[in-house]
Amino acid sequence: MRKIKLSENDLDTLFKEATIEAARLKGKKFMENPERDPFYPSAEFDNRIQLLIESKTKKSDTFEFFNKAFLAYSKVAAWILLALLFLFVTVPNVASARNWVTKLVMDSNQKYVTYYFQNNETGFFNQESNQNGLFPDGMYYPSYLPRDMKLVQFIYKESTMTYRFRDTEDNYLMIQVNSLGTTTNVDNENLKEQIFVVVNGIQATYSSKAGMRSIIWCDEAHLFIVDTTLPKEECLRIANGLTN
Amino acid sequence: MARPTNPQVNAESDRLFLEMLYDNYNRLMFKHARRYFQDQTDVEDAVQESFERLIRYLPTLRRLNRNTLAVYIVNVIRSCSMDIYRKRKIEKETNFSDIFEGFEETLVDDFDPDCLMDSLLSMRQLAQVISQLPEKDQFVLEAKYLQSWCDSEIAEVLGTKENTVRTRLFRARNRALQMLLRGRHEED
Repeated sequence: MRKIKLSENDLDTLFKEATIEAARLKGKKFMENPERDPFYPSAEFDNRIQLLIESKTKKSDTFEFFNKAFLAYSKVAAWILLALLFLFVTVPNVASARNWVTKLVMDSNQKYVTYYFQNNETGFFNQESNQNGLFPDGMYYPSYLPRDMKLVQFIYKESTMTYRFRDTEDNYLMIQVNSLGTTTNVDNENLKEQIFVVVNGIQATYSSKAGMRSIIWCDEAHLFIVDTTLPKEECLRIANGLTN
Repeated sequence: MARPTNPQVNAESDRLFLEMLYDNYNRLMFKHARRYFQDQTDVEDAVQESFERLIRYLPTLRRLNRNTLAVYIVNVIRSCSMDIYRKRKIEKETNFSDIFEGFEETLVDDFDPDCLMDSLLSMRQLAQVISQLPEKDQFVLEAKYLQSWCDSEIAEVLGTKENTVRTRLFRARNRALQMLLRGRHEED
């Protein structure tokens, strides 16, 4: 006789095959017996099983709806994400984006623009900053302002630009820049003081009346007016700080 | 191994297969369920629960032929019925005596399978011997090799520990080999 040695795996495989073969023989007997034992389940039970099969094999409409909804939501979310990414890459922040749009509007529509500053924007002019990112190139703006002086109104017309400031002590400051050819009325009656001063190397007229101080001067292209309730020295510093 | 798959089977072919399964095997299912329950409602519950469980084993069922599928179904009926008994806290040893009989028996485990290795083991002979094994041994062999249940699943069905399942499997195999050896000696 041939000597063989079966490994555990071989024995396992052999038992598997033998068990399935034994099951086949056993099953054959099972399948013969029901024929001798006629039994018909009730129609109601058949129906239950049929419903069970359908429920297990039918694709759920609700599930499908949620799948579609999720897909649509994903697409929308992806587009929003892309748009936000584009916005954050091209424009550093929303405020500068708005400034940029404002500048475009002011450049393209110089007939009439009135801009009321918000609280967080008025602080911009109080930092003695010389940034004028808000305005179109060439626009005059005050590079010096006394502390707490806040811009409350800005009017930009075709040939006239007016800044109005106010501080916590109710001091008032108005700066007006007109293009040449613009007419303006100057009250020079009963003046308390009227002298010549030099602003940025240009001769200017300083006058005071009833607590108001004014400096008026002009260069080749503009007529400048500074009106304020502040002292004379501050008025001069503001006038000298007007730049573009 | 053949862990229950996603019950949400959805192919048309699955539906047709399940309908065929019920049409061909419902009488077998009812016949075996009636071995464990007297009341018609209980029988129907057992069959329905078994059918739901069969759906979970659909990929395995598709690979079986007509007769082995019958044994598979009968075993599922039996394990479902045991589950129902367990849930209802009914003494199950009476109705499942073929499974639990001699469960704690002492068996000589010093049988060495190598003593059979001097002759070629025939699969058909072994199958014949397995057919003659007690029902409890056949059940554990079928659960392991036909149903492809893992030890923990078999343990769950039998309400025992995994170690016990492994012991029962080991003993069932040894018993089959012993019977095979005894048969050969008688032939000689």
